[in-house]
Amino acid sequence: MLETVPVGVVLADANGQIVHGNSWVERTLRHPVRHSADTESYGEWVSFHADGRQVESHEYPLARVIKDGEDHAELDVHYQRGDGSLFWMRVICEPVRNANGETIGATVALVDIEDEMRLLEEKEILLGEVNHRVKNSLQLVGAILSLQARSAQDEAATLLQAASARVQAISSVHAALYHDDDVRTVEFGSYLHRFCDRLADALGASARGIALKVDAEPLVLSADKAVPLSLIVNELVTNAFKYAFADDLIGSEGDDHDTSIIVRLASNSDGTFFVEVSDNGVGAGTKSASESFSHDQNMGSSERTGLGTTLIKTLARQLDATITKKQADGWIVRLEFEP
Amino acid sequence: MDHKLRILIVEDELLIALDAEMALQDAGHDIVGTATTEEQAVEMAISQKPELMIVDLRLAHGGCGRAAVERIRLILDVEVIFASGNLDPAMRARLEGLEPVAMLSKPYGGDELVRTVETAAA
Repeated sequence: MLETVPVGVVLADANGQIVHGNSWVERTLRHPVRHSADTESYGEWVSFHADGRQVESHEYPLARVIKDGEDHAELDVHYQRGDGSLFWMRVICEPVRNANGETIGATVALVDIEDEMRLLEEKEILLGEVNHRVKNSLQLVGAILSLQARSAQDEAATLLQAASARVQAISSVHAALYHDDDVRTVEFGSYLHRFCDRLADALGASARGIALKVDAEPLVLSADKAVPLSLIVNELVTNAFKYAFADDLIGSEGDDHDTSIIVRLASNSDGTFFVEVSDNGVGAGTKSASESFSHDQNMGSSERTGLGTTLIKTLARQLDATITKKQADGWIVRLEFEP
Repeated sequence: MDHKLRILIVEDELLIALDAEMALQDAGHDIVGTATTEEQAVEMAISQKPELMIVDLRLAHGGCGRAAVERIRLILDVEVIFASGNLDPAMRARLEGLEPVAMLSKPYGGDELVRTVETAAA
């Protein structure tokens, strides 16, 4: 009967000695069944992990079932056939037990997964290709906006720069998606540091004598949360730069007032998180963006404030986040959200 | 940063190159040219002798930015900043050998580029 199944079947006794293999094994592996004596000797079957490291005896599913007592063990290996060629094979093992529940042996199934692995590889190549396209296209969109801002005059230039900054806030999340191996998530804590450094440059922080500080806990976020959050931080920080400090108050002589904007990312005890932007200025600062949430006033005269407000409000809704503001030293706007 | 650099941009998307060029010129640097292929990059590097090259990895006509840098380095000592949308950990490891002064993930902003160049010049 074992000869009729379309997979390799290997049987082992209670000590892990290999006692039988069906003809699939010889046909596919291109060598006779190796009757390894015990769990220490499976290295006679030569195979490799995806990283090229040779699979050791104790790593084989049969050793894990016989020696470690696992109920089910699986491993995908790059198997070296008798003729030296390699193919991908899945090794699946389960114990055979008697009526008393004692392990009296084990069955191993060997499955050819060459096609499966090839499809997976193709998928990864395609995904990489698409990601590359997306990033290049975003770079192109940013370049066009920034070129146009450069050639525009006065208010048009300001508006285009604001649009460019917003595109940049989206783009930078995409640039961060490849920092680790996972292309779906971003470590938002360290991202926030890089993003704010860049924002500080773009807003001329050092020239104006304003420090933009970041205090962030590590938090892994999916791209669909990271993009709106990044945009919201962009709006809040830009607003604070614009309205919190009157330029003639900064760095004036005898003034020991440390002019700063602080972006915090931290967790609450209930597992939710918050992002907070605070300033220690005297002006409207972060207030102008937040006040209109409660009063739902119309968009105001300045495009920057008006559209900024709409963006924050809309994106907060998209994140199911709540926004609060309060006045302490300057203004504090806090956005509570579930990661 | 006082030190202004002679820079060659190697990038096949010409609008991206143009934006980079203007941002760097605004910061006072001297752009000696823009190459879109591997061959052009090698030729322009040798004729213009830039101090720094900003190099995209995937170039027009199947060219490779990394290969261009390898070829140029045989003849010329020049600093490199790689800029690409494909800087996964495996690629970063492969580029390390060429000792770039920085690797910039696309999409990057003009400010980021200027700051990276100034760090390189320091």
